[in-house]
Amino acid sequence: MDKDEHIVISTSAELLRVAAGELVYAEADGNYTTLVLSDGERRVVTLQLGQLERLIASQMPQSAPGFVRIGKSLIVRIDSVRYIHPARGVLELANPTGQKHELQASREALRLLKEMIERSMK
Amino acid sequence: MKELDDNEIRVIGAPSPQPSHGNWWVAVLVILVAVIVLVLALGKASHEESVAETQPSTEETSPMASVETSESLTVVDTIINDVPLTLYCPLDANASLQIGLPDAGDTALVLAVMAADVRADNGGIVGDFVVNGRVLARGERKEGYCAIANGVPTFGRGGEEALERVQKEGGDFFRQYALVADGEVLPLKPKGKNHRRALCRLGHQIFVAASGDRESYHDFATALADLGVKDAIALVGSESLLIYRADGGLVHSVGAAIDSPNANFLVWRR
Repeated sequence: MDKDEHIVISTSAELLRVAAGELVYAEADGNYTTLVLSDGERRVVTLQLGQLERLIASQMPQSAPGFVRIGKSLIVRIDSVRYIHPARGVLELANPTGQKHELQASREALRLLKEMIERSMK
Repeated sequence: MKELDDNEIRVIGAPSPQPSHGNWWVAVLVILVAVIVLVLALGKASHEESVAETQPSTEETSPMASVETSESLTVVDTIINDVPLTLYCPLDANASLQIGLPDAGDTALVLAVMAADVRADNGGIVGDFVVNGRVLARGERKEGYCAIANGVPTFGRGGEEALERVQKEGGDFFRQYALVADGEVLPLKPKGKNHRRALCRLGHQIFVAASGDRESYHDFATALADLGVKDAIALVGSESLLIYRADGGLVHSVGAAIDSPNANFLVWRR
């Protein structure tokens, strides 16, 4: 993904500009969403996860989607996926510095994610 | 944009591709490696004098077999008869039965899995249920049982004598469906498919098996018998909570606890 591509989150109170490659994952928290960045920073924004998904879809070119929505609670940068174990519901992400994030998701969703990544390698 | 449920994924900014079912040769290779590692790991354990003396092997592990070991637990993934199984093998740990969620912050916790079923209508525990010698529920419809004395579970069919003994000695007891006895699959009444779990014995090793997919009781029990399991009783399956502590102390949880004051757990601690 082009490092110049940014996700800009602008509300009436604030504006956050994050390089797409910096966003490791986003997690729903009711009416809020927590963004976890590659430097380990966690930033809460006043957007629902669905609103963030639409925002990313509108700002990122179709040729470089880069992100995947997993169930109701997660948006993950595909490049950051390190390890998937569907039977245990485990998804592990890693940023370029090697920092790891272990997340939980449904087994079926992780099975689909695993298949999608396998298929993209063919 | 369509709302997703928890079992769906969607690539943002692109149409979601459909899953495919290719790469059979990779699956076959993984199966072969997993079974070899499984036989080595469990075969080694079965030759030990007791569970307490069993040590996890790190030399035989293979990334493709997805075997994880820690000081207190070995987790093995394998596929038997197209049934993906995860086996959680506590090492040098004491079992007990408890009502209520185990404390995930308890550093002694090795493995916890939901034990007896809880009725959806009135929240009561299904079948005989004893904790520390105290009888909390009665019922014999399920002939499988697990009795725990001095941290060691014994299980099988019947269990009337064991039930009396744990009441006298302050032990634990619960009932579930019996799946395998003396290496033979037992006829099972419940139909339908779901994620299944079982308490199993193979040689001297006692472990919890969990199916990776939704399975009938019959297919699940057949896979366990083909694995070499001598005795197995069911545990609460579906999306119920299972917690284990992996290498480095990281606590993993699978599923969710049911919302009931009688949610009960078979717990191993060190």
